[in-house]
Amino acid sequence: MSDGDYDYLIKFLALGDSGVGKTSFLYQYTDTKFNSKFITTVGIDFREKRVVYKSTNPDGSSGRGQKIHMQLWDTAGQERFRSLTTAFFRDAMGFLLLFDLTNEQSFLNVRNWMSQLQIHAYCESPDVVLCGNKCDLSDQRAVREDEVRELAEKYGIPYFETSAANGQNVNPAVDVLLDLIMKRMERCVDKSWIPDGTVRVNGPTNADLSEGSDRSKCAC
Amino acid sequence: MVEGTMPEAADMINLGFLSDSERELILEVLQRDEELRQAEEQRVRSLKAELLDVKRKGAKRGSGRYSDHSCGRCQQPLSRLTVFSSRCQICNHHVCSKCRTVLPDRSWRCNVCAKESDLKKRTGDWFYDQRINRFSLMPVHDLMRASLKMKAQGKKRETTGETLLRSTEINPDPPIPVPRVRQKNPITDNKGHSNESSGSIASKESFESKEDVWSKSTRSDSESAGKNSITSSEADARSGHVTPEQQRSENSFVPSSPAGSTVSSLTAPVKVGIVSVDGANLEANDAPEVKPVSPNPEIDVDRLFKKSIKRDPKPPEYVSTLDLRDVRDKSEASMGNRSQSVPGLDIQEDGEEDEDIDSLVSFHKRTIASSSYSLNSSKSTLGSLMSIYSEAGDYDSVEVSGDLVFSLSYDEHTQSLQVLIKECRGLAYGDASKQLSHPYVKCYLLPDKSRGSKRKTSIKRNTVNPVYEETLKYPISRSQLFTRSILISVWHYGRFSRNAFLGEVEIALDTRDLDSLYTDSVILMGKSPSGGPASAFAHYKGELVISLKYVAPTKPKTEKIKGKKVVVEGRGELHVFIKEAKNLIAMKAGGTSDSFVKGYLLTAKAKTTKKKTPVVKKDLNPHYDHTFVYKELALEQLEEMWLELTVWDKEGMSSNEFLGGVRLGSRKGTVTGEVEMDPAGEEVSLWEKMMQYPDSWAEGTLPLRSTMVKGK
Repeated sequence: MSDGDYDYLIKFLALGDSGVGKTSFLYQYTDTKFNSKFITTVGIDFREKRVVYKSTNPDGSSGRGQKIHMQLWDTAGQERFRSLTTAFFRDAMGFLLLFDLTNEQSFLNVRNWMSQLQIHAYCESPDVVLCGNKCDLSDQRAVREDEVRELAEKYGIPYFETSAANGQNVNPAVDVLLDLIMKRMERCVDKSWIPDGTVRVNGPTNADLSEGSDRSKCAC
Repeated sequence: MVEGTMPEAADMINLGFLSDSERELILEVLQRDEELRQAEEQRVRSLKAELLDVKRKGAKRGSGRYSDHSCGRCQQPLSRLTVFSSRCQICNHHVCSKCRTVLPDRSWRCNVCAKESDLKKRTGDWFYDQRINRFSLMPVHDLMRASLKMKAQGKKRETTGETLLRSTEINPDPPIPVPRVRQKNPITDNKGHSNESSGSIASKESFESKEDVWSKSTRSDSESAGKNSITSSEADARSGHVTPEQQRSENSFVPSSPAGSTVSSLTAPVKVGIVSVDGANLEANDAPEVKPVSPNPEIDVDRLFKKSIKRDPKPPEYVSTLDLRDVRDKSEASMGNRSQSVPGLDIQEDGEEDEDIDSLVSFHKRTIASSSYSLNSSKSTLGSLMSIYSEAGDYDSVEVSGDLVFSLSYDEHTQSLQVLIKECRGLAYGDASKQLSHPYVKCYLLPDKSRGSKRKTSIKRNTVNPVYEETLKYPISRSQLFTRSILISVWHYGRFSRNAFLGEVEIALDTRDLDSLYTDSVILMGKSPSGGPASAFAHYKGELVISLKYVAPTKPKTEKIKGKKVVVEGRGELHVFIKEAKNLIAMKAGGTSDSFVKGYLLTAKAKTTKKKTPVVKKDLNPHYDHTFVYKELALEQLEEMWLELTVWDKEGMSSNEFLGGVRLGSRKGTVTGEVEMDPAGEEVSLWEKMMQYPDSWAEGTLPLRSTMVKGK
């Protein structure tokens, strides 16, 4: 699986409260399988998947397919692993933030997760896709869709109601995240062009001092 | 370690709460991640090599001056009409339509810029470039500074997984049992694995529930065995510079390291026999420790993960960390280097010719005297080095005239470049008074100006139209030729007087067709800026990655001197971390260089003693990971100082070869009234950044100057 025959290595990370279905979501995505037994994730884990990404041009035509090797990090939702899992945030290019539509607290915690991302991700405003999971359990639903939409809009992130059990919206959610990353990548590369642009001086490492440069870099 | 002083979260992850089986499981994941990362690194490396190829073929560089009416890539003339619409938006070179890449939105870039930006995407550099701003290099905190045990800086691509994995590997009793090291029998290894400790039995249970994990891990065993030979030979090359002194200091750092591994790093670390003995030793030593025999298992765990804070050796990028022993060797080696950073320990190699700055200085004098040199041209660069290293400037000059007829070809069979010197026509008289010439032709395959690169034809007596028909051969692989150029000069042999220079041409090989055997007739040039078409690539000498930090003085303290209490004002220190160089020019056969970096801190009046990194052998992208410490400096002083760092190829028998240099400082000036200091661009901004933020690292990637003479 990990031979080098691909164009891009893209690293995503799933996060969210314990039991919202991060592992199941990723299992569904990579293997299109579902196991209803709950096995808590120990610290961290990852899965891999190859996909072909076709960018769409402004004129609607699609470009050459790019081979993407995805590394999908799964994190433990449990609080006790928090220091370990958040340390892995920095290595991810995009995030799948999951909550459980049948568990209101997991939705309320989305804000906390977002602020954790702001602190621990590679930049202050990374690409995130919000997933309300377990949408197949409609009779146990505890979160209204418009509430979530409102929050997602506030953060400016896409929202999907997903089901790791029947696969609903699982692929679209990841695809949208991939698209966001690929577009960000283009912007970053376009923007970083300064004449003879191979030279970079990194700022001081104090958090407060580097903050300014962070913002400017991240806005790309 | 005092945790509060470490600002980096990842290094402070306290994993003491993990049970043995959890730790096993996590390490298993990290190992899988490591495999993926290895593959990725390999891919990234080959991508970067591709770019380099494209770059080398691209002719103009930002630093040179070229006509606007020729293509910046292939140097074909451009028609006047197209000049206005032919500018690449990124590099601003005018580029012909053949050397463009059209993007989906119908805009275009020149080939090199397109490739560069494509590469930035494919390698993930776009991401790491941003990430490094938040999680960059860890400042060395006070405790470490005191002992000068510099922490290796995290590299741009270092992931959390890698950090964690590495920190566990250093542990003398690794939770992943040692058998991975052994190369011979992976199957029995696995058995040993599960029998070894209660911890790993538990882990086996847990990963049986994940089939793919299990199959992956078995595969990795055989893979790592397969990789071993490659990686360890690399290790061999790298550990080559570990001297006995360093070994000794290593030992003091690693008291808990089992004897076996230390011994193996003293000797050639590759031999399979030693490897297995090593592994067995480790196992034997560790066996009692694997179970929590120690009274306080917490401490073990703490040490396991926090080790990284103290030691955190930066693993060489390309070495499989699956091979635990190798990494351990390497970590020790790099510790050794760091301990060497203490100025007093700076090794002074005996017998090394001190040609660098001094000869540059003396050359500089010569340059000033000879006004015909244009310091801006690459030609003068090459000429300058010529005179330093081989000609010593001791020759007569005559009015150059005549042609050289030659052909260049590459012989695949013998893997060599063949320079056929046919004849010269209408040469000048080398001995003007007697109206005669005894001409011979001399060749260098630049940038190598050493004796090893010199080829001569026979001397033809008493003629200005000598016919040679002699072939000069350079064994070299074809791919390397793109960075080279051939310098052909004609000389008059003065048997009782000095030789006289009769003219020269330089032919860049990156733009030359070496397959069609056509004969060229070129006009000989003097050593002047208008000389031959110097390889534009000669400007590009690679890059040097360094970090600077001014360590502010400790607070004034009172000391008792002769019974009186006196306030002693502390002075600060300048720390210069020489991280790595990239894309150095190959100087040695096999396309490598054995490089080291030399540093001088200069004031208007003097220069400090030189400091050197150890030599990193056979690597054009060497990691030095070495720190120069300049003590007793006040911050204000730095405004009036310059730092010169030069990269050299270590030659055993002859003079070291200059590979490039940088000159840092905040202003222009002269040293001892002779050498002009002209820091520019990043060289200035990095220096200023260092002065602006004491106690934090300023990292920069600086392009290497192709000459240290003013006005690169």
